[in-house]
Amino acid sequence: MQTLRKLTPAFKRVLEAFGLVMAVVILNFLLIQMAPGDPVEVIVGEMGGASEELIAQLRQQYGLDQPVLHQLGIYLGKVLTGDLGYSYYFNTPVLDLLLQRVPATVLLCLSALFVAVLVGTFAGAFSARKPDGAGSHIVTVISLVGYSAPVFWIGMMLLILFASVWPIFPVAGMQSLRKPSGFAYYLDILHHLVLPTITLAMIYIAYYSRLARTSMIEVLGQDYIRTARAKGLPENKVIWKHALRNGLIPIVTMVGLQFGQLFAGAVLVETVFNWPGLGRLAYESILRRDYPTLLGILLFSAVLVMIANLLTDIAYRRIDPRMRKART
Amino acid sequence: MMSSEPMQATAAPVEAAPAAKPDHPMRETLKIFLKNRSAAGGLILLGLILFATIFGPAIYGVDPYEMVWMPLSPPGDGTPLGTDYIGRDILAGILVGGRVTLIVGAVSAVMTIVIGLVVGSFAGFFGGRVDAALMKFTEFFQVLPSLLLAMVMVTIFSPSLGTIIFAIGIVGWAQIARLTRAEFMRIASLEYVKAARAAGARDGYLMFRVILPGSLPPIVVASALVTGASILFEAGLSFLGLGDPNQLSWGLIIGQNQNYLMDAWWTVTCPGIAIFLTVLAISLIGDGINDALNPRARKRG
Amino acid sequence: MTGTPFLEVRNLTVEMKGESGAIRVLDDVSLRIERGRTMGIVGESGCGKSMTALAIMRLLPPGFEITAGQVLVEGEDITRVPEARMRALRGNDISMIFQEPMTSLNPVFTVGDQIAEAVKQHQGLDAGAAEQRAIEMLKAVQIPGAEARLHAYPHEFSGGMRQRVMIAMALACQPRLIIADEPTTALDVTVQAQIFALMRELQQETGTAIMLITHDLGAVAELADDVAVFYAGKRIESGPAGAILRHAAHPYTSGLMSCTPRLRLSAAARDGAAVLREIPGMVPQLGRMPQGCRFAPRCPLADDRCRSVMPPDVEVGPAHAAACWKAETEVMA
Repeated sequence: MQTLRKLTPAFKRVLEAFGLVMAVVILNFLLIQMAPGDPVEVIVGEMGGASEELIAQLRQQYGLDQPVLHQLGIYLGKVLTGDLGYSYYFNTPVLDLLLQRVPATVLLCLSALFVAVLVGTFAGAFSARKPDGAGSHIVTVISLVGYSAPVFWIGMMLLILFASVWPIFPVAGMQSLRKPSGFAYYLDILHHLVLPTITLAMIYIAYYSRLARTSMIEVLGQDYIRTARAKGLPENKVIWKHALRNGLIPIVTMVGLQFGQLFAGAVLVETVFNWPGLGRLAYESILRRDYPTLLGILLFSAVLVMIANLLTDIAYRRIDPRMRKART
Repeated sequence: MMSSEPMQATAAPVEAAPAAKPDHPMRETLKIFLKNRSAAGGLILLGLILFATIFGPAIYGVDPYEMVWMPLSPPGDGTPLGTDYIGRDILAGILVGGRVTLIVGAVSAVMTIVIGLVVGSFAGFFGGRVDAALMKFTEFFQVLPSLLLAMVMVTIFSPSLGTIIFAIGIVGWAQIARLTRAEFMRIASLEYVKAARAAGARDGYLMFRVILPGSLPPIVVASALVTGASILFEAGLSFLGLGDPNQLSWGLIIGQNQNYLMDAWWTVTCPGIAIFLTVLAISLIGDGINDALNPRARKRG
Repeated sequence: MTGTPFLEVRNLTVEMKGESGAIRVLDDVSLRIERGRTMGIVGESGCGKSMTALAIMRLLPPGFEITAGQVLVEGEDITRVPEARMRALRGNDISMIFQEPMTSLNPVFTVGDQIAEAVKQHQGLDAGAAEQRAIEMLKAVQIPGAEARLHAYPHEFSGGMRQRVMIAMALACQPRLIIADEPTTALDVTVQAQIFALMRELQQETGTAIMLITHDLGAVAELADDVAVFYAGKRIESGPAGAILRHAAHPYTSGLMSCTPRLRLSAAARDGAAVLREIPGMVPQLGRMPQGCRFAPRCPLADDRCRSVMPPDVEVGPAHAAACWKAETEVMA
């Protein structure tokens, strides 16, 4: 009984996350249904060498002559067993295609997130110490620029800068043509990762520095900060221990909520930098009208968002003990 | 009168700063807004951009869809901002392309705000199960990658101005909804709303005549942000080739020329600056409104 | 009382820099706190008693500044020492307990961590020894199950328990002065009594001096050896608690006492007549102080001199002073 009660909140979160993914599956189904023309067209994609036989076969497979609810059942069954359809353009089952591309996207998103949270939090916390000082104004200006410039354009500007003016970073792809081996292999990927990461992190640096600044200014006005000072703690400890831990709470919340948007930003960044992830794949499938792949990516993005939400939830509970169950 | 709780009515020292005699609140707000240099700058900038996109094409007089010069010729060499990969005038493209960008941005922002307002106000007003259901719905749209969802919709329903506006409007309203809900909940618990309710006001009247006006200030600020975001959204979609292929827009110019950016930086740099300045102007105005409505926020963040 | 007191505040003036010039929130305040004794600081909200405490700790909120006067800790003027010296004093020689136990503890760290922190900082104890000290302190403030509660977070404590934790934190380094700023205002009456009893007990054990800031004259009567009364940014009367409670020299002090039910009863018993008095009018706004005595507009005894010239401190008894033109006559009468 005790363990069951302990499990319940976590279990509820998992259920909710699963619900999100199911909702996307249903959304995909609705999109297929509502698309102009024959649903088969969407299932196959325009590039499919859709012979009469294949169309008839798919029609039967997806139960397209059955009532809509029945079709939904078939569709759910297929998705849940990992059958996301077949990409005729790439000539691969969609699931395999997606699994191949996931690591690159996850790598890009996580490194951008890491940079953004780190830089944003520190910039915001620093500027919060003097709300009217120069640092604060710099944070305001940077965040305005980060908010206002299109992410793909920032990427292109970096490309121009680093390709022609200061060529120290590779500007496209994830690996060099001649793949080095051993440790150098990872260094090579890291080297390729720099520009896409900076580009994608830029918006979130803008966002988190502002958020961190507001949150830290608020926290620094709290009674417990005065208590910490009254204890005779050095200012560094007051800020980086007592204030920061509290100031981080809204940032962690935002990270969870915004992971989906981060992923969307990755679509643009991957396109600009030719980064071989899901985003680049999305761009390619748009060009080829490869609907099954596109819908698969949408579904995968939901799964990634769900995992990210669960992880931030755990982080949140670690940082803020009030969110844990009270001990008695 | 002194009782066992002596003279609590006196102000604590921190609050004791003698407040300047306030003007009429709206005029006060307007004054602060206009005094704010960055907000005024944003307003002027946006005015210039609107002027350029409305009257610019007629004044400049170059057809943006025609090849007028050598492809990829740099700025100053025959055309003020250079030409693109098929010899079209970039400046003419920017002047005309701004129309699509601004119209799509504005209309989809309005759609976003309306959906957000309706969902948020119903959730905030009725609470309980209505709130729980609507908020689950909102969360769904908030956590999904909205650009990707819009991409899928536009791809499946074929790119046209209508589809794009619809797609942007349908994916971006979650934030407005949450904000509206929070404001509704806060204001619905205030005395004057309780009084109106006790006086027998109907739900519709309460929602839109009593509560909504009070909850508008933060929503106005968020709306400025949403408008900027919608413009960036449109630019992103057009960049990916999901705009209306028959109508130039800033994102489309960048997307079409992205393969030439190493040789012809101006083809992508100039339209990008146009997007940047437009969104910047709107952000500055939003910041200005925020400061004007909430002067304390200036010092606090 | 001879020799240097532990803490002496001399002519302390604190101003708030506002858009419309500086506003004096504390005006020419002087106090002496003797070793091992309890000084009660009495006055209404906003009279400057908390400001005095924060000025002594040099923890004034942004915009507030000490513009004149001295704060002497065993003869050392700490208004001018470097911040590093100040940090060495805070929490070690002088510690502070705040009004709001609910918000004065950091919600994301365990109480053990927050108590041990000061010990580590000032006495260089290692983690284990500091934790041991934290357990001792929790036991000293009578928190049951100290070893287990060490790892609990503030939100898992009630208000009264949190204030005990605050006291434990303040006592951890065995300071020579504890400034308690309305330590019980946010608590239930029964809990208030427990906290006061605890403070008295701990004072007897450790010999620390206490500066008790309160608007509750009852608490002063119970705990304080000496009393200072504040009104509108000025210290208007000070002296031994007994003398002040028996013969308040300043009309404001006697007004304040007649508003406190417990004291009123004893006063009534003494005088043989229950006089229900109240002080008419409102405290003047800071920055719009009257020219003469600040209490004059509300004072039943005020005359033209009171309204035009600020009264100086007048000696009305042994170590008992009041800033009132009428003080002398009243005591004599």
